[in-house]
Amino acid sequence: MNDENLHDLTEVDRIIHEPARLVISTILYTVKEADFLFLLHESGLTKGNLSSHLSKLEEAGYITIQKRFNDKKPQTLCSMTPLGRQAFEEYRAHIKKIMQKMNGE
Amino acid sequence: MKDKIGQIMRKTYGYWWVDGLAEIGMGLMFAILGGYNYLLITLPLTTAASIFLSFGEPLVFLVCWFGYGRLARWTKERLTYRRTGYVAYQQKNRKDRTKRAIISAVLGISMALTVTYIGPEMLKVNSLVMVGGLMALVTLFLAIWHSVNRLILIAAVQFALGLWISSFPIEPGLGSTLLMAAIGAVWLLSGIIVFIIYLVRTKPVEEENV
Repeated sequence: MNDENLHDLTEVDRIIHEPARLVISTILYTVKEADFLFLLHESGLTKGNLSSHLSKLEEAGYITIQKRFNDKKPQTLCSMTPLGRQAFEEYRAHIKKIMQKMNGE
Repeated sequence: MKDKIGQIMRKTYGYWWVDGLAEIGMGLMFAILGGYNYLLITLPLTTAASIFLSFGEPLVFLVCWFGYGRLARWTKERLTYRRTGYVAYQQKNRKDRTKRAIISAVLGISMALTVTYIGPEMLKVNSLVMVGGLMALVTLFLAIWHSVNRLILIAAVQFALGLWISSFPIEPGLGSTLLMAAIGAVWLLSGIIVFIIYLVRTKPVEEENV
């Protein structure tokens, strides 16, 4: 890995780059919306961990979190904002570029 | 990294198959189409009912297709989403819808041309293999796209069924009815097994405790 690659790596969006948040972001990028229970099952995180990562993504403006009642039961719905979608696409493009450079393409 | 992201995306799409309900729906759809096909071949061609049934075949297919989606979602809302979570998939954008329409049109025209230009004798033998093969290809595509390995087995069984039933000394009409029923049974069986396993392994969640 040369200096240029290292410099590229430092420019990666750290909000998304964190492994747990990358999983959450990928899921939310794929779907229109998902609830807390689904994210819990798919990410394999604990409730507390998931909650904290969701809050970080929400603070960055990448996702929205809505609470509602479904059949008298509380439900937390998460969806990715247009800003989040753009950030995710840029992150993917960035990582792809780094990988290509590292593979000498 | 790129592959990991793709894997997570495919797994997320694969959630549609997690409870076996989608397979049960597919099985029922093929059973209805098979039953309809049976009516078509058993009713005398001259009767008004037969003509009506012939024209109604595409309509039945459409009703089954849309009914399948709605029924699966209705059931999932009451069962799956309470156990392993709710998800709503992205609506396809115009570009994707156009791409899908073009692929469907090309496939449909190719099938129509194949059926028209292949001799009746050859068709009698090969149409069931073709239907089984086409169904296997579509299922294989779903298996890869949605990362659901059991669908690969269903694809293989569908292709084998097409080959096997085409060797029966029966009329092609009856053969296609039999193939549809058999394909439906395979989907149904797979769906029921997955559904039972899903019910045993999961339970409804009362509180989110976020």
